[in-house]
Amino acid sequence: MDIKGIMGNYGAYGISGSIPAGGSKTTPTTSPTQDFTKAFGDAVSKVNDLQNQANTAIEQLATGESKGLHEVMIAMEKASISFQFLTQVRNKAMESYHEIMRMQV
Amino acid sequence: MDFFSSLEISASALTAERTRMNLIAGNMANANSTRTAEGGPYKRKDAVFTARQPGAPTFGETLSRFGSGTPTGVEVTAILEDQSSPRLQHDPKHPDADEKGFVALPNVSIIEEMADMITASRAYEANITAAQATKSMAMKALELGQ
Amino acid sequence: MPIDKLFGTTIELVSKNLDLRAKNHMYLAGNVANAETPYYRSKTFSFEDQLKDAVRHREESAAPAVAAHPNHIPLKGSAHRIEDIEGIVDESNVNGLGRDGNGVDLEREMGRMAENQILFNASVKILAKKFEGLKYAIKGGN
Repeated sequence: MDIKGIMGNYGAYGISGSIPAGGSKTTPTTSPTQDFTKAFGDAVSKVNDLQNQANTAIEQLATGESKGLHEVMIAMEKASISFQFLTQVRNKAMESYHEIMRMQV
Repeated sequence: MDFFSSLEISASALTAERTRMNLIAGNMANANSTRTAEGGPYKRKDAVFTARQPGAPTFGETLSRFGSGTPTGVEVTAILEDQSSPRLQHDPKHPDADEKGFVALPNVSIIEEMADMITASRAYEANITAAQATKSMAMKALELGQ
Repeated sequence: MPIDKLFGTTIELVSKNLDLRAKNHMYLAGNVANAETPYYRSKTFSFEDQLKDAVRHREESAAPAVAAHPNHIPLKGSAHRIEDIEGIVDESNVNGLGRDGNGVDLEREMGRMAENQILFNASVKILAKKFEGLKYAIKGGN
């Protein structure tokens, strides 16, 4: 195997430098904006999942499939708390954005 | 669906059971009465329960309610006297003894009356619990907006 | 503005559940009231199977089943929409044992009444929480 050849191929992809012996760790090249969007999007979908879980639990209780009252209450409380948390994070983000826009350069 | 029909049903049962308790108390008090206003010993009284909402005006309306399976309360429709023969006891010295020396005592058996009393009071308590459950559910429904 | 879409199907399901449980309570109270009536047969009110059908049907098909002609009588027991559920009343067809032929098992009726009450209270709490969540979302969290 021609190691230099492999390195050359890798060079074409923009990753330079020698590969350390114990395996490599690629440094993230995404920008902070994408990180925040991704994180927020993940949070929203997680909150949505929790809400759906709560709705399913309620349906099961109403149709008599499961008699787990405490499970339903816990699922509903989780959904409600996570939604409130997300809302507050959004509010704070908006507030800081406005704060920054108000700064005079 | 309203809760007030449930309260009416439970209230009708409470009234009926209370009537029955009154009759039982009367029976037990008169267990040894050999003389009554009509002559002869006291006759045991019993209440007849019918599953029907009190105040239902006509038989036709009651029948239609029965047919559709609507829940009904209970009403005391008649108070009957027990026509079984009185107990005879041999006691020649009693003022009411007949020529053979037998006294006709009322046909009240204390043990039966005690058993009936226990049943009536158990049914009364059960209906009290039902009425309280109705009230608690109705009050809980008021909390929907909070 | 889609005002109707605000209250999703879960709220509809839970309110229907409340209606049915209140009706169930009435039947149970009737049974308890007639615990001493001779030849009385206890009545049971069941609706959970119908609810299950309606929920499953809603998930399977987006469009609700519509009768082909307005005069067609819908099949009893196969309600596809949640608001059409009526519940079925069953009357037991055996006379009870015992001297007076009464068929009401008082302990079982009280147990059912307690369970009904608990589930009713739970549904009220669930509905209240849902409304509260909606109000919070509308207010924007402040």
